[in-house]
Amino acid sequence: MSAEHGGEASADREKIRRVIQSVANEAETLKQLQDSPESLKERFHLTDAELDALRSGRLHIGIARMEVTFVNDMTITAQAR
Amino acid sequence: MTPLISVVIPVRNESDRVATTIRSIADMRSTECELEIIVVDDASADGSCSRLSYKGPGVSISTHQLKERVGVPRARNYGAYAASGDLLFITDAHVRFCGGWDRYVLENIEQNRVIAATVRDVASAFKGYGCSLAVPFMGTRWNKTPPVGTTPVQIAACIGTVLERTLFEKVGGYDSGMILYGAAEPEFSVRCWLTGAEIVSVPELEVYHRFKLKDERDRHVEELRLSIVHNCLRFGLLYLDEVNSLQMLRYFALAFPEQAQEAFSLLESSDVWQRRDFLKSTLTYDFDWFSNRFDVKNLAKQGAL
Repeated sequence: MSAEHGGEASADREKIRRVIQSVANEAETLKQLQDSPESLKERFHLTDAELDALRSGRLHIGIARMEVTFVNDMTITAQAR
Repeated sequence: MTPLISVVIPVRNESDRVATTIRSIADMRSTECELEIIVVDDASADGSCSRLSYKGPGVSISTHQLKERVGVPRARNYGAYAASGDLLFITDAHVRFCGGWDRYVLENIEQNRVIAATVRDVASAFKGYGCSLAVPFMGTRWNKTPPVGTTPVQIAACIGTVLERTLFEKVGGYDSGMILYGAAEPEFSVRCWLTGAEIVSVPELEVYHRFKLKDERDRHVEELRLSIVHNCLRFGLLYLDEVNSLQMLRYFALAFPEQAQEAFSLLESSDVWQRRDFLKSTLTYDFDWFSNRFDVKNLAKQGAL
């Protein structure tokens, strides 16, 4: 798994920061992130690999329901809705 | 001289349980080590800590009443920094310790080592031998296979985390940017590893834990869902690369639609990027090292659970 731990932070982190900032301030961006990540590609200058990453976020819904605990105090499956 | 062990217990509205917990911790010792029990009452409304006492040798109880709720990670920090013992045993208010727990601690503690106690459910046969990280959503999974002897594990559960006080201070305690509840403990464990310490499961050291019943758990999670979502996102943004971060963002946007916008807003106004830069410049290892050390894989790419 690639995890550069902050390497080359400025440009790459800037994309993430902008996505977070936009979602925080615009309900429409949240909806796009949820329903049509393709629509974010141009706006945030996402590469194909980054767009694929967004798309694959949906795969985790099913996975997270399987014994992933978000709080360390209980043996639960994710509380995803 | 036997070192003093400081047991740190954050409490919030658990007045009916914390006295039993303290009694168990004190009574189950098998050595003559001195024990300091630090109870941090996180602004309880039920007077949790007002009448705590233990009549027996070698035990002192120190209670700290916080006027405003600070959340579990900061309450743990408060207790740890108030402690005077050489060793910290960080646990919860609703536990019982196994017989001879202090001996297991003293026999296995080392410099730069965190002990992960085995967590047992009081109502079932469940035992958890530390936890493993689930990337990219930064949750955890219990290790259910009994290890043979003392074995490295990724994460020590918050219910049973033991380490030298000097190591706690060196690592920097729990991330005070984590709000109220969730994700702070696995993040602390990851940071211990990245600081150069190790975490080992000591199977014999058992903490009996009262896991919440379903209704109670649902209420608890509902109340704290925003902080859980925020803290998991913060955890991921501190360590993950861009691709995994983007996966994580979309996952939480889909899985927690009612909390996503507010959680993102909290992140935006937080110190998460400064914290990331700070960790990058101060930790001995990077997250890639941790991933390789434990063969941590993105669960979606791994293809199966």
